[in-house]
Amino acid sequence: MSSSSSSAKREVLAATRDSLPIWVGVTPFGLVFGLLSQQTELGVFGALAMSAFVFAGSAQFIALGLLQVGTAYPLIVLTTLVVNLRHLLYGASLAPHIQRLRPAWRRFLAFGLTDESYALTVTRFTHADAAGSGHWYFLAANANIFVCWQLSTALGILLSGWVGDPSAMGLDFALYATFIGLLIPHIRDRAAVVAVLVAGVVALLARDLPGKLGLLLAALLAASAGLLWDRLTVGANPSGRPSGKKKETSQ
Amino acid sequence: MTSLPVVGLIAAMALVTYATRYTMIGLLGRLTLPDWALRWLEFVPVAAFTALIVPATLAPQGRVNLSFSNHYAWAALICALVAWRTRHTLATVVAGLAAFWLLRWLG
Repeated sequence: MSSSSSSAKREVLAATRDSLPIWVGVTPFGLVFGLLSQQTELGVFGALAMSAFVFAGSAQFIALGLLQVGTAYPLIVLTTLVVNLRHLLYGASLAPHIQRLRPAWRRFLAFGLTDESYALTVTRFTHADAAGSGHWYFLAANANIFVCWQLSTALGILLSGWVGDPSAMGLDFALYATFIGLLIPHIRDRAAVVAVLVAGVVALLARDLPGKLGLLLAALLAASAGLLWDRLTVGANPSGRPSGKKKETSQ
Repeated sequence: MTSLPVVGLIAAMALVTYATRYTMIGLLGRLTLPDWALRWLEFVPVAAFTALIVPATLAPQGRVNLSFSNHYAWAALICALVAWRTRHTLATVVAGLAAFWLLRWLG
């Protein structure tokens, strides 16, 4: 018991440390959401409640845009569903790692699933030996991003009216930089390179699709392309891994 | 005060969002996946990260822009190099932001 509680503590600390760049990247988006929300009928409490209960940045931004042009509420809900379909993929990807947890744990972890917590958690699950305590990492990553999102939304609401756009300072780039930092170590073999190329091209071509459908389409096609490459080359190069799995071999 | 329709809107958005988050975690808790499906899922993070990064950096204003004026694209390239050499996320973010601001300062 004591060893499992110390490994839980280690996972929470690791997730909090790994969340640091995410705080830098997410805060500007929360600020902007808080700022923009005050130009709609959401009001202070509506904006705070949306960040707390919906807790999905992209969907919230799109909802703001739709509210501003007077879209019917059912259509906003439908758009929210479509924009968030990518969570199905994330859920499917993480599910095998948290299968043995009690349903209450899984229900609670699911609430915090975001692009960012998925990015951190899947990296932890695939690269590090979480020694059966990985769910604590998942939980702490979710909690960090949740707290960051609530604080930055509230700050944005407070500042609304007398501050410019924080993305004008380029802080929005921090989020993409974080995703790049998380992506590169995942590219371990040719099949992954194929997946990256397909995902990039499809996402670029499909970027004008409504909601985040382009992202979903790109991810589905790219994962399939990676699998296909893997199957076609299975005899020639049995899932060849040029670089080490955990640490870079000496350069 | 928040109006009743707005409360309903937020509740419905929260419900459908949670449904997308929980569905696979709930379902897959009960069934085991074949090998090919697990391998397919291994590609999901790579595919999803790339799909998030590429349009945002190569077409930050909606149109593909590979000229020097697109600081997002060049800073992203520097990020990728730093990530590849260091495998360190925080170092990557710091280097990326520094590159982004430098490019912007250079104009």
